[in-house]
Amino acid sequence: MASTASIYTRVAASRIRAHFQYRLSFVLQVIGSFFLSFLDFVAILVIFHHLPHLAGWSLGEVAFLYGSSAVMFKLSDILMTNMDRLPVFIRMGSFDQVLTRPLGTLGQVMTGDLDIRHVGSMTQGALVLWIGVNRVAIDWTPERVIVFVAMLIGALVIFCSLYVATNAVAFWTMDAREVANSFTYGGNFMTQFPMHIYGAWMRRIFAYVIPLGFVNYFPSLYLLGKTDPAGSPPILRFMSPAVALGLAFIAGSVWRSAVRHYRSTGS
Amino acid sequence: MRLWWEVARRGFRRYATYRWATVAGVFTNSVFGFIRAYVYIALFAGLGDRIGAWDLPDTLTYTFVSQGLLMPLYLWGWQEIAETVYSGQIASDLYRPFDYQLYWLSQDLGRATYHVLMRGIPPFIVGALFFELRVPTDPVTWLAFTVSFFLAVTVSFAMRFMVNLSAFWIINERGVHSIAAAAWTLLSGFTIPIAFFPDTARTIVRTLPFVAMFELPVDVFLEHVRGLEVLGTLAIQATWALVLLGAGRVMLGAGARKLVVQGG
Repeated sequence: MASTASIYTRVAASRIRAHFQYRLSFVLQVIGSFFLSFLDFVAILVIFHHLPHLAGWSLGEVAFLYGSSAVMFKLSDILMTNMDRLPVFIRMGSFDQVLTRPLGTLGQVMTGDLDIRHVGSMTQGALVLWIGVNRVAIDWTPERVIVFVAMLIGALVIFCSLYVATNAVAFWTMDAREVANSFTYGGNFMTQFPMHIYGAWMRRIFAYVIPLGFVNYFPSLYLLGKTDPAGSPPILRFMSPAVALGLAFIAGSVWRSAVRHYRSTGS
Repeated sequence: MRLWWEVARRGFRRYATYRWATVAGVFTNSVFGFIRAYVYIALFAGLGDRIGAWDLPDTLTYTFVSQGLLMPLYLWGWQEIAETVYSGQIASDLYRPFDYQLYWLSQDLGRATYHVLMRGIPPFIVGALFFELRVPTDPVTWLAFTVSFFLAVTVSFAMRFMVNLSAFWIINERGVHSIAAAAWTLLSGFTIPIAFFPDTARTIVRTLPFVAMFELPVDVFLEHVRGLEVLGTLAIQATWALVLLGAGRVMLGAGARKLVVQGG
């Protein structure tokens, strides 16, 4: 077990080193991605230029949502870099190589490439989160610190699980892959705003079934001392870790059954 | 003329082969449309007033029109010409007995026609099923919007053409592309209407060519411009299209002079 972990670590480290080879280009792209991701935040600033509260939430509170979602989504984006190439592996039959090695298929695909340049936009997310935290004045009791850390870890697990489950569709059909973007990039976009702004049916599907509400909205209600106008049960505020674990389990099962479905190109 | 028509038809057919990709894309464009729509509903609920000429139905209509225009305008990820620069293929493409820029423009207009029919109209219909959208009833508006749409595609093409040609000078065209894409996504009015920007920013952004891609066609669709103003809007778009295509030709000339073919 220990040796498997060390193999993954060494493979991952070599992939990261590969991105450092062209140092100037690497640095420029990290800086570029840091600044470019602020353009995304401009929309929120423009909205708050017109009103002090959006559906009862201040700019600081929305920045808290935006930052907590962005920093963990970008991290999942780094971990899942190689998912983009999955359809190519399947089409070319090179997924065969993955199956012949005595390591897990998912771990191999994930460590196949790690695009570390995204640390630029991840830093932007962290900065917005920091600004948000400073503007909302949270009373940092030990309970709140635990819920905060659990929220961030839960968000990462939920985003990674969504990446795995939706990209596994590539094993059945190549073309429908863009649907995955609705849940990954769409999930990131959706969790920048408080869940109660969305219509009832949409909230039911995306907050509970997909469970994006547990990425940041429900724990934030507790951390920021807000109430949900839609009247969700208070217990949900502490359910993020359990939901994240459950979703990870489902994503793992989807991945395994997808891999079993794989038939090589046979050339 | 007949040649360009044929090239455009091939551009149309080339993209028509991926049917499931189209369905998946419509789904994704619609999901993002819904998220954006609810953000604007919350904005107008808190505001209780219009922003400039825009009320909530205008803004929801804008949301689904802009989601529909996303693929036709192809702002993200078109690097076909840059790839031919890196492979050297462009050297033989430039030898062909027809105008290089017009060839790509024709094929892009064909592609955009396919995308507006299959990727543009469906998300709008999906949006109209769930939200109160404004659909113009005046046939003149539809005619003007059609012209405005093709001018927007031409402006978008002219910009993408130049970004691609930057590959003549820069090893990493991808970096230029991602900066350009982020800038024109915001400055065209796709991310949020330019009309919502603070006064000074709005005045500056409206003098830039990017608004010719989203903001101006949407103004025509929402009938925020009327009568002679419509002609004025189309004239602005046409001017930008010509200026940017001209700049692209200058760039192509400079790049081609620099081109060295390592024969083998």
